[in-house]
Order: sequence, then structure tokens, then C-alpha cells
Amino acid sequence: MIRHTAIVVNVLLLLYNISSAQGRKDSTIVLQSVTITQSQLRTFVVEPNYLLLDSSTLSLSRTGTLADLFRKQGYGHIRSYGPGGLTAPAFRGSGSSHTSVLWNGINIGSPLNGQNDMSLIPMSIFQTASLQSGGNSSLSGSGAIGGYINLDNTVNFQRGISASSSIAMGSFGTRFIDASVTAGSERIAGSVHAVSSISDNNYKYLNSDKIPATLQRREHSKFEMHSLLSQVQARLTHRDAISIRSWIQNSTYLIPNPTSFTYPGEADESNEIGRYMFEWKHNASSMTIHTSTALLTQRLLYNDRAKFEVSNNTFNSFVQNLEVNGQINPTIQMIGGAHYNLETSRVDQFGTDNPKRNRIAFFYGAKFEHSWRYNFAFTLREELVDGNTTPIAPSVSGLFRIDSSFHLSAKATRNYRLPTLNDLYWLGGGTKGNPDLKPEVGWSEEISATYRRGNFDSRITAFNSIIDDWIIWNPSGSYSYSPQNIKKVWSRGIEFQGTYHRSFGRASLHTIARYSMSVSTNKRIYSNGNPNEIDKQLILTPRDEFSLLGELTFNGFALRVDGSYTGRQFNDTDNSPYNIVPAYFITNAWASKNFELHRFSVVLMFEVGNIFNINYVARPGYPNPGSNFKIALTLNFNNYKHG
Amino acid sequence: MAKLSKVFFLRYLAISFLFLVACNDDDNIGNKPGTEGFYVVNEGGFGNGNSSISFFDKQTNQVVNDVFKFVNYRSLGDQSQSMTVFNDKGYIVVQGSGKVEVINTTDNKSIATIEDGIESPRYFVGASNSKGFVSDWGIDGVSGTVKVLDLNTNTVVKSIPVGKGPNRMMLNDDLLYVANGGGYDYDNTVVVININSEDVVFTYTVGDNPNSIQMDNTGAIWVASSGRTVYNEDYSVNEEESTTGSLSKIVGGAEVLRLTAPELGGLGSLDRSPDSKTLYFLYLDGIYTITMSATQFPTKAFVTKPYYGIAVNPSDGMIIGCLAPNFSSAGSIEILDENGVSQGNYTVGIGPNGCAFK
Repeated sequence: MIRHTAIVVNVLLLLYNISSAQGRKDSTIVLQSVTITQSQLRTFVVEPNYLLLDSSTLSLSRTGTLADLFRKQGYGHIRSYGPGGLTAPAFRGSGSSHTSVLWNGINIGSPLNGQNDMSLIPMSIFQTASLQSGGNSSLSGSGAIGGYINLDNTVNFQRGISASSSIAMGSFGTRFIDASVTAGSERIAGSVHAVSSISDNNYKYLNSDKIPATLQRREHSKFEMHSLLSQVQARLTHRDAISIRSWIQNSTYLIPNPTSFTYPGEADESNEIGRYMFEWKHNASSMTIHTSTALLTQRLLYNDRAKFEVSNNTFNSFVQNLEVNGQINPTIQMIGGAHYNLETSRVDQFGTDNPKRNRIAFFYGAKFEHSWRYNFAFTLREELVDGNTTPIAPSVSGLFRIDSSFHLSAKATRNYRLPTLNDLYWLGGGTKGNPDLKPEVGWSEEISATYRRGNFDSRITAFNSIIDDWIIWNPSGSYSYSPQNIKKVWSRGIEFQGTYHRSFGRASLHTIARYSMSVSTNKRIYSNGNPNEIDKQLILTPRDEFSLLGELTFNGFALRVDGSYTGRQFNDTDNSPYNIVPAYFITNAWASKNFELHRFSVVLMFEVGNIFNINYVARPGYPNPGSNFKIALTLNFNNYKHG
Repeated sequence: MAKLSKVFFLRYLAISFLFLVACNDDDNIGNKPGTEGFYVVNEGGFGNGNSSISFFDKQTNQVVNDVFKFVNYRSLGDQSQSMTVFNDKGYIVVQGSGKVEVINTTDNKSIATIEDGIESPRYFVGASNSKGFVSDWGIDGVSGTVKVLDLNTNTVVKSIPVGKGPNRMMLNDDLLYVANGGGYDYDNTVVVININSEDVVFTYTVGDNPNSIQMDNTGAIWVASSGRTVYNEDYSVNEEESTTGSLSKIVGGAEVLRLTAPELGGLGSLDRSPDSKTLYFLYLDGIYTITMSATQFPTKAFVTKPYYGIAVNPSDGMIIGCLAPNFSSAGSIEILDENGVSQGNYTVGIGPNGCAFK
């Protein structure tokens, strides 16, 4: 039964993989690894806008971070302070704190500022990743108004061991090394993965604020990150399975000033992260019980030597989840349970108070698969924060198949985001948190048409969403800043994705095209806002984005080229013609060759970023590098009987 | 706190210090500055490099925005703090970018960019055809200096240590008065520099964190100080050690009067009427005013509105109030007559904080 469950999980993931490289042959060894304790929550949305980042894609991004992956692949929009700087995802015109990042189902976002910094997430320690855009993620709780990203760890339940190590060197003093070992049998499997990356990050950029425009080198932008991820998964009985994981990480980032400053800055930030989780899954005949317990700790030390400013922040989250998933009959599946989260913090600017927040949520969902032609699901979630209710978050989703190759789906959901602890408790520097803030509330609806035939797969989605009581820090009174529920934002638009795959003997071609249009405007401005912002596109939110990707594989050789376009963005909130970030189109390429020898394989990869040396910024004052290079060598070994 | 949040709050921190912005007027008395119109300094959002200069044309009663970028094809930089028109040139002090942009006020084209030797500049005063002065906080915000500029070569030729956070300056004959506003720390002095010897010749002690200076029609020097807010360890306000803003009156080399504001909260942007008989300044809820003979702090605002900066047009006495609803969208200016009655409202750039009169 457990094996069956694992297989079902994988099948579901594959079904949702609308961008998967179906039929592709990876140029690297890909073991069929699974997780045997995965939560079923994410399956209670019919036909989600789900994008599985397959092992091939992840292997190409093995030497980078989640920020690098998004920057190069054009998945949604990212708000970035440049390489090594804070990088946060933003889907469908939402804000940078409206996308959750989940590690094996546990939200790892900072309760202090609600941000998920993708530059602090090394990709090589994860075996699968996926992203889901849109608000059809209400079961994920606070913060997933725009969508969420899943990062999962799996292992290979085969008798034997495998080992892998990569070393990479790149432009701007970038060095990377990692090593992993996996050992397993049919009942227990575990892995240890260590990663270390360092970059001087001193790339050249064209400073057009100078006369004449001057090629300058980025200074005070070095970073380093060291991570260790360990996991064990075990089948205790034919009904019970457990997983234990730990992810510890240490990083130091120098924080450069904006390029409009003449001095490079003297601030740095160190992060010490510890994330630990335990999962247990029990399979009864028609029911599964899944629990997960997690402890998330983070210590963040900010030090600006120029301004003699030091901020020492610690925050911890204790998470306890319980879900019961039952198959009522062959066509009806239900899920229910509770999420508990205790957030504690100790922040210099919170004063002597060490605020904590008790959050408990109850959820319920049902999925109806009455026929091949119709599917329907609904969910409901209610969270109590320190005993106070938050907006009820329901969702409904349905699917209607016209024929075997064409179907329609629709979703509607209500979502919310709690104020962060900084929003509530920050005090100092002329700013003050606001304990009276209300949660942001989002409503979203979407309808999709999907066409799959042969090697062609496409989906077009029209979406509409409202985010009300959006929290903004604004001048409050004459002399201080304070967060307030300032505005209502209306986002609407379309998304398209098409994939095409074709094999020619030993060669194969895989292509992906994506386009999104997000018109995201202020619908209402409440007190203390600027009414000139009404009906204006949100700051630094492009209306149009598209990306193209092509990959050719032949006999262990792979060539992959992608280009992504980001439309112009307004750098102010009332869309003046004076503050516009120009559009840009960035092209990257990878080439890799896989050499196999008995139980060993060697993968040699060469990567060129920003091939055409485009000078561009995603955020003014924080330029991105021109053409850059990276070469990586990966050695894999396994002695699996079926490897 | 993660990086974005830190930048976010640093911006607030910086803005809180920058809040006591004074609108600099033009010291070219006699040229009727402000007759043609005036520039508006829009400091922009911290770190966004989107500061700008607008120009209000008095003949057409219209504002043209972003005049620097329009003719020079590049951004002005980060956080323009002030601008002064001197000898038909505009000296735009761009604090975040650590530079002074020099433009021709006839066509707004760039003449020079003064960067070397300048770190965190605040205000400019022209002394002669060949000499000017720039107050400079220093990179750390506390190692304040006044830079001596050669206006022929547009270079820094000398750096004079003055105190913490030198802010607005005032030239009277051969003496340059510099208000040490504290920068990222605290100060309570006004230093006097002899512009010929380029040395500090006298130091006055005034209220905490002085930020702007004016001279009235009697020759008395008035200094606006923002006061000092001290926080306890838990970041609550330490009421005992904190001080309210004040106005100091200096006559004959001594402080003869100090009018102390009743409540904590910045006080600044001190300016004067064309006849120098009335002083205007910002405090708490709006514009306050006093006459030269005042002996008590005014009890209520002259105009109640949360202006970010003010300036008085030397040519007609109109008061220009700068409104910055936030630092991510366009602000506006409101022109008030001498009775405080609005004569018009005009959209300008992001974060308008003051004016320079042409």
C-alpha cells in the first residue's frame, strides 16, 4: 500500500507536469527517487497551474540558487536586487511577499518580513521542485496569495548506494562544490548533501549615470553560502512510514549600495538557518494519516559599519501539522486536519518585548471524480491567530473534458496574508509598527483551456484577482513611518504555456514557450495613500513577460537555449513617464555532455549567461552582469542493481 | 530582518533624518531671484536613483518635470537634497550619489559634475565667482565637513571639519554660518567660517540638532533646531533625555533668545519673507510663523498641512509648500499667498523637499 501511495504521488506529479520534458532523455543520471510521506494537500485542487521543475532542469541549475533558476528560466516575475541580493518571486502582478516557499510542505518564509529570499536557497539539495501560480493555494495558508513554490526531498528506495559530486567555476570569482551520498534498501533510505558556494560577484556593469557612461565593477557584493541537508526515510511497517530531515545553512552576504551611490557600502548580513522536520504517514485501508513536525530557526545579523548600525534578529517557528485523508468511495476523496504554528522572535528593534504568535488553522477539502469528463474539488480553511479569527479561505476548482485532448478548468479562491511581525512590532529609526493592521485579503478567479495532443501540450489561462487592504509603509503623521492597510489592487490578465516535443531517432527536441500579461492596478486608495495612484500599474510590475526555451539532445549531448523577455516597468507608483525601467530580453545557453562508464557517469557542462551582453536592471540601482560563463563537472556513481 | 526589509528601514531611517529639510533659497539678493520661476527639488525614493528637478515657470504658471534628464539624457541620481542658483548656474546637491551637478540655468544642460572629494553633501552656498561651499555629512553621517569648491575648475580644494551633520548654511559678508544638524548622531552647534581664511572662527551653542539659519531685517540670526529624540532600550521614547525643537536668536555673537517648541517633533525648513520681517518654519502639523519681535513660540499653525518642505519666493513672498505623500509616487507643490491661501497646486516629482529661485 505504501509503495502504491508513493507511486500514486509520482503519477499525480507527472500528470500535473504541464511542462515536463516528456520522453526526454536527460543527459545526467536521474534516479527514480520518491518521498513516502508526502502530504496530499496540494492535490486538492483540480488542474492547478502547476509547473514541475524536472530533474533535468534542476540538474542544470545544480550549481546555483533558486534565484538563479528563476532569473534564467523566466518562471514568473522576480523582484531582485541583482545577483547575491534579495530576490523574491511574484506571480500574476502580486507583491514580493505574496508567494510562499514550502520545504516538503512546510512554509519557510520569514515571519519577520514575510519575504522568501530565493538567493538563500541552493538548488542542488533538492530533488524535485514545483511552482504553482495563482491564488488556488488557499490550503497553504497565509501568504500564498500569488502562488507558492515547493521544494521537496526524495530518496531512492533501492538497495545500494550512490554518490555524486560537482565542482563549478564561473565568472566573477564564482566557485561551487557539492557532494552527496545516498544509501538505501527497500525499507530505508537516506542521503546527506553538502554544498558550498562562494562568489566575489564583482561583475562589470555600465553605469549610465556617469558622463560618459562608464564601465564599472560592482563592489562590496561578495557572498558565500554553506549548506548541509540530511534525510532518512523509512518504511517501518507495511502501513507506516517516516521521514526525518534537517537543513542547516550558514551564509554571509555583503550588501552593496545602489549604483547611484558613489561609495559601495559597508553593510553585510549573516544568516544561520536550522530547519528540522519529522513526518509520519500511516496508511489504513481507505485512509491515510499524515503528521509533520518542524522546527525552523534563523538568526540574522545585520551590520552596517558605515552607519554604526547593528541589528540582531532571531526568530523560530514550531510547526505541527495533522491531516487525515480518506477515500470515501471510488469517486470521492476527503481531507481534513489542522496546522499549528508558534512563531517567536527576538529582534533588537522590537525592544524588550519578544513577540510571539500562536496560529492554528483547521482545514477541510473534498475531491469528486465522478467521471472521466467531470472533476470537482473544494476546500475550506480557517485560521485563528492568538485566538482571533482571520478571513475564511475557501476554494473551488473544477474540470470539464471536452474530449481526450481538450479540457476546460476553472477555480475561485479567497486567500489572505497576515501582517508580518515587523509590520506589527517594529520600533525605531523614526518608524513604528502598527498592531492594528488587518490581514490582506485576496479573491481570485481563473479559467483555463488545455489542449494536449501528441507531442504538443498547451494551456491558456485568464485570471482575475483582487487583493484588498494591501499593507504599505507610508509616512504617518508628519514625522514617522508606519504600515497601514493602504489599498485595493486589481490584477487581471492571461497566461499561456505551450510545449512541443519530438524525437528524431537518437535525437530529441523539446521546446517551451510562455507568455503572461498581468495588468495590476490600484483600484482603491484608502486614507493616507496617494489618490494619484488609482488605476495605475503597480511599481516594478511588468505587464508583459514571455520566455522561449529550446533543448536538443543527442547521444548524451544536450544543448539548451532560452530567452526571456521582461516588459517595461514603472519605477514609481503613479506611472509617470520619467521613471521607467526599460524592457529587456536576456538569452542564456547551456551545453552538456554525459559520459557513461559502467557505474560511473561524468557530466561536463558549460553555461553562458546573458549571451548578448545586455545591460539591464530589474530594479534601478542594482544592475545585472553582462555575459558570464560557468563550467561544471559532475561525477556520479551508483551500485544499484537497477541503476 | 532580511535584506530588502533592511534597505526598506534604512530608507526610513535616512528619511527621518532628512525630514528636517530646509528649502534653500537663493542668496543672490538684488537679482530678484524667483522672478522667472523656480526649480523644485524632488529627492526621489532612497536607493532608487529617481531624484529629479522640476521647473515652475511663473509666466505660464506651469510646471515642467524632470528637466535635468530631459536635456542631459541621464538620471540626476539618488536623493537630491537641495539646489541653489548662483551666477546663472544651478548647483544641485545630490546626497545619495555623493555629487554636485552643475547646470546652466538657461537651458538646464550639465556643465560639470563635482564628485571627487564629496561624500554625502547637503547644501551649496556660492561666495564669489571662484568660490563656493558645500556642507557634507561624510560617509558615516557624523564626520561633517564643509568643502571649499573652486567654481572655475569645479573641484574640491579644501575640506574644513565642522561637526556632525552640517546642514544649511548662510553667508553674511565674509562669514559662513553652518548649522550642524547632527547627521546620524547629535550636535548642537553653529560654526562660523571665515570664507577668506577658510577656517572656523567661532562656534555657537544652540538647541539640539540645528538645521537651518536665516537673518532677519535687524541683523539678528535665527537658527531652527529640530530637537533630539532619545530612545530607551526598548525603543520607547526617553522623555527625560529627549528635547523639543527650538528657535534660537543670536545677536552680537550671543544667543539672546530661545523659543522652545512644546512637543517633540521635528522643526525646520526655516525661511523668511522678502522683507526679512517674518520667519516661516515647519513644525508638527504644518507651517508656523513668527515675527522678529516674537518672544514666545507660536501656539498654532499658520497653515495646517503635512508639508515635507517649504520655501518662500524672494520675488513675491509666495510660500511654496512641498507635499510628498510617499516616496514612490509624484508629489506636488502648493503655492500659498502671504495669508496662507492656496493659489494653486502642481504635480512635481517624487519627494519634493524644496526650491531654488531663478
